[in-house]
Amino acid sequence: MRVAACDGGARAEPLLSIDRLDVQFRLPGGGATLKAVDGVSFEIGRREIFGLIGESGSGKSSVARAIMRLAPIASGSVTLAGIRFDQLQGRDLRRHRRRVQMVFQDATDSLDPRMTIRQALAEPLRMRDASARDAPENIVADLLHRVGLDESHLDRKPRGLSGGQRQRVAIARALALEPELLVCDEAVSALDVSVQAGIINLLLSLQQELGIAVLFISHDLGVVAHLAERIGVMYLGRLAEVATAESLTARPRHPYTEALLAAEPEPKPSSLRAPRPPLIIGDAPSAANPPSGCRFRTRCRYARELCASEPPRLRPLPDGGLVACHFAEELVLEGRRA
Amino acid sequence: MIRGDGPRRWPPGNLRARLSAAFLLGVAILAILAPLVAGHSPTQQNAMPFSEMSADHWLGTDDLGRDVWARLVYGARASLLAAFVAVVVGVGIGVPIGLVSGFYGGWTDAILMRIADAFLSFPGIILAIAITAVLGSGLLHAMVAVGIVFSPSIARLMRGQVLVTKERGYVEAASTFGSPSWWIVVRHILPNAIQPVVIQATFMLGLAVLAEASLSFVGLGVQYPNPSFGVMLRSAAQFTAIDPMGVYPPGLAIALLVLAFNALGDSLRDIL
Amino acid sequence: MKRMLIGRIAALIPTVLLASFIAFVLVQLAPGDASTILAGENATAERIEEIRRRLGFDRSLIEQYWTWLSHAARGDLGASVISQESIAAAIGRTLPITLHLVVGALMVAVTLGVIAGVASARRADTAIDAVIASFSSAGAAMPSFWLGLVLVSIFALRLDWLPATGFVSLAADPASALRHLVLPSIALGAVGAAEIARQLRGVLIEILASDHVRTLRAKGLAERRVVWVHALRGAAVPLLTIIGLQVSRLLGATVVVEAVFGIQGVGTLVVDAANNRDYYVVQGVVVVMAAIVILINFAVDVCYRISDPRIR
Repeated sequence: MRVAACDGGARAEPLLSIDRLDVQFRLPGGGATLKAVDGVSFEIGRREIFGLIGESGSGKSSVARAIMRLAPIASGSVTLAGIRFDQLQGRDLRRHRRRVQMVFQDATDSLDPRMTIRQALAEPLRMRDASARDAPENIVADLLHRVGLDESHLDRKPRGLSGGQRQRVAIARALALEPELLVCDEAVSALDVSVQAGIINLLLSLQQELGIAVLFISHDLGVVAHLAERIGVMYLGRLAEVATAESLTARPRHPYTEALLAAEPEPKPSSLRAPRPPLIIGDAPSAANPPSGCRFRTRCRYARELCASEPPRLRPLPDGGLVACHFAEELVLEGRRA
Repeated sequence: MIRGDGPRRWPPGNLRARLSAAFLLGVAILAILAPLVAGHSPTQQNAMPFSEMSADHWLGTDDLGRDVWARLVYGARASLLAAFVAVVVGVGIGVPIGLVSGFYGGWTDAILMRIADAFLSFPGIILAIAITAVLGSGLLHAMVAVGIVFSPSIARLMRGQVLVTKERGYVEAASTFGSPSWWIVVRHILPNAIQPVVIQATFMLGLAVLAEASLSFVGLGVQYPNPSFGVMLRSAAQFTAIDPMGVYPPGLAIALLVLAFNALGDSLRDIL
Repeated sequence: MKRMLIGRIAALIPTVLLASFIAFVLVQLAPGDASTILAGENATAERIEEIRRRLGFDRSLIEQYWTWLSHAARGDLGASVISQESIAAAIGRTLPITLHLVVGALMVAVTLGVIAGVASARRADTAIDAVIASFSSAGAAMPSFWLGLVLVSIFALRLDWLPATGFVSLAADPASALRHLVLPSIALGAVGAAEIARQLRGVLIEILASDHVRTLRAKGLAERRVVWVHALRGAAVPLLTIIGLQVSRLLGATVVVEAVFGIQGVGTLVVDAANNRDYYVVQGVVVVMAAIVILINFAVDVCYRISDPRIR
């Protein structure tokens, strides 16, 4: 079954289409496997910013890594502009990799400490055009300007840059190959809030300017809702809900989304309103041993018997969203407070 | 204070590094300039055997009346060169094997590391003697043999470093650009994983000086009349009854050289 | 326990096979084989060919290896091409002599190493610690055989306290045997003592700072007892590992030290064989030495696992 496009927008052909993706890891010691991603399907249109949100361990990073072909795909498909990206091998894979680029969470770790910024930016360029022994100076400079840095940074090593600057270099490096899709995996989570805003605005303006699609992954609903047009909510390897950012925050359809919204920090800390009680209790169960039925049921305040026996499927709702909850129609869930 | 890294020693870290580096540099310069600084031929009789120290013969002469200082300077040449050859061979074999083993993992890794373990179950000197016997004696062969003996531990060290380094984000990032594996290995993994190998190689230079001395002492290394520290000890050993001091110049030279390499290795480990 | 032993022994097999294969192939790589030596200088090609066939050199490498290994497993390592003596007999004759040296050296290394290691751990970062550390750096840098030469020139030649060379079996004349063993054992053991002191220091400092030791001290136990009984007991396994590694080093180092002291051990056997290109003797010694090292590593590994069941 292929999940239909859901927000009513007429996208003839999505840029990226993920269908029933399973990602499994073998646990160290013994043959046990961990299903990090379990039957996840969604699409990203050209020029769209799609947000993916979930707690750590929800499998959102595994989705990103599977798209990047960094994590093993157990089953399902990843199709990029009509090409089965998950089935590419060897030379073909390397040739097509440039079309999807990634900004990693930890810029410090994703930049080689022994390479200067110039070398770091030249590396992908060299892969683009093997005939050019040295990357044209103007391209490297242009990339740096795009992300708000200048030539004075060229001969420094990552050590000599701030965290925010490193992430800007990482973004410039990802853009060097002119990708069609930019995957940002917790790209701002490690940064200070003040620096975060700068990077988020940079990503937004670059997306506008270059017309690329972005998969933006974060555990921070506020950040994702600010950036993304549509949002997928993941819980323990499955999609709980997919909807437009506006609809998701105003009228969540899944109890987990409601809980996430309730856990958001107050916009005005001085607010006289009593803080809302947390709607979600305890830690997430282990993905190695998920609960039967609906995976959220152990922490869901609306859970009933059916939830333990029958896993809810991600199904379309009349308003265009998708939800994986048996009782989505009956529940009246509270959205973000104005 | 809990410190697993060893006691404070004199001289302290940085000075130790500089002193040992300066000493090694000095020995290297002497060795290179041997014809200029030796004063005498290292292989020709130029005085009575077992002459005392004198202005002409700073360290006296040996059993054949050859100038000990000249032999020491030329011996340093042979010993340093030999150590260098052994370490280059060891690194040259060990590093590629460790890279392949760590990077590809799986069966390749399992087989290569089993072979390395098998090599490590021979006492080093005895394996070196056996390989030298097969290659034929002579300094170059002996040192190639020592290098082969060094290579499994270098391979193991390199492999361990590669296993850590290949999990780093920049390696993953490089693969997302479509960089081929060889590029990732050469450009990212090797430079970031090589440091401990450089430190180990420094210690191995010391070990190789010892190995040269041992193999030459038993007649498998340098062949007469070319001097090396081991050869000098070999001839001095036969005359300890007549000239008990004869074993000191080459022996102390070896010990100081090894000490300097070890100190440099220790300091590198602390600094890097 | 039984399962662990079986598992460990099973894990040993590939190492043993590979090590023996290396020893076997090594000799195959030598230029010219025994047939050319056996056939004499003016042998015809037919004569060499005949000897080659008789010795089985015309068969595949693996076949030859298997034949060689099955003989070796039964204690038949062939015969010296030069002296015609059975290699197993030659090793049987010389190995006990070498083992005397190794055991003597181990006793020196452990005694000196433990005393120095405990002293420097108890007085970590003091002058005594620094002096011991300097001595052990020097000890590690000295060639054992040179130390042997120095000891001979001082204690045998100048002071005439101990014999300079030779070996006497313990069974024949224990007093004389011990006198002959002192100098070579010190020469061989010095490097090991330095290594043991250095490593034991690190292990002990950690143990002495542990809660367990703090409790013992709080109970009013004498410091001497805390260090020498309780802390050393905790350091037993790492110490054993270091000693195990030392055996392998000592087996190598005796080769040269035997030459200094004129002792007819395995080292002399292998050096003479190497100088005479008597490859099968070299091969036999290499195989036996590897077997000893593998056995010792196995014993250390088993001790390690018994003492700490978490390691599997």
